[in-house]
Amino acid sequence: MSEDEIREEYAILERARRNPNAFSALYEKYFDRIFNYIYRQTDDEDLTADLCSQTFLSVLKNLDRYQFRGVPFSAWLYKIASNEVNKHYRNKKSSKVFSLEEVRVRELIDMANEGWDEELIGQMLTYLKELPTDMLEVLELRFFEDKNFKEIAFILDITEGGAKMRTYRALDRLRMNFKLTITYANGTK
Amino acid sequence: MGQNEIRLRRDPISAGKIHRHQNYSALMRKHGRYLKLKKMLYVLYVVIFVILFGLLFIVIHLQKKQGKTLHQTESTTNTNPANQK
Repeated sequence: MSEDEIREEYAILERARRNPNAFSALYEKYFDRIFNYIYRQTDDEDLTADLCSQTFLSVLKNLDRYQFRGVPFSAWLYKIASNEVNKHYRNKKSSKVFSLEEVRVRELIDMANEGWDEELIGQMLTYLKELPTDMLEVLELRFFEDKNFKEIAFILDITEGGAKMRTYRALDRLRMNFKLTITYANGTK
Repeated sequence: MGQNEIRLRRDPISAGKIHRHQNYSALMRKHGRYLKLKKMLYVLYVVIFVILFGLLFIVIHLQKKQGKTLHQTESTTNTNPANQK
């Protein structure tokens, strides 16, 4: 995101502080992305619509508190959306759902392993299931939302170094699991 | 460790489906209700503050008045020649 775009968004936010109707430009711009982000963590269209609406409502309520901290406004939106999703799962007391797009999973496999097939996708899902939630969250933001480490750190309320470490550890674990599987498969042949 | 459910989606959710849930006027209505409630709460707090302040003023005023009357009674009883004997 260019500096001009960030400045333009900030100007819209300034206007929206005085008149909430001015927020519509940012609502239109980010609704799809936030919807997709939440949907990936719920796999339920109606629930996603509710949480998405709650997210934007929360943003409007707290618009006066927003301060520019070196990350685009969208990072703040993602942070609020993430909090809303976590709040939902805390209240529901159930395990978190990650509904991943196959295309992106293939890309992730390519990063951890060379080439992919149906079997590898199945294995990848098993390995992802073994990862703790915090690692899945960074992977989702990094590979499914294309966020940089600075933004990930802001969204998850961790340090930039922490975000990098979590991502690399998660990728290492995936790589290790793939290697183990391949070694095991070769050894048994 | 992992307690999450991982699902695989063949297709990403369509733009049309997402658009169906996009409703800015509904969001504005909700926000308007919130602002109204916030204003009402503010007015309520001000009213409560004024009432409490008024009550405090009355209590202090009454205590002062009571103290004065008590002082006056004491001084009249002290100046009464019958009591001085």
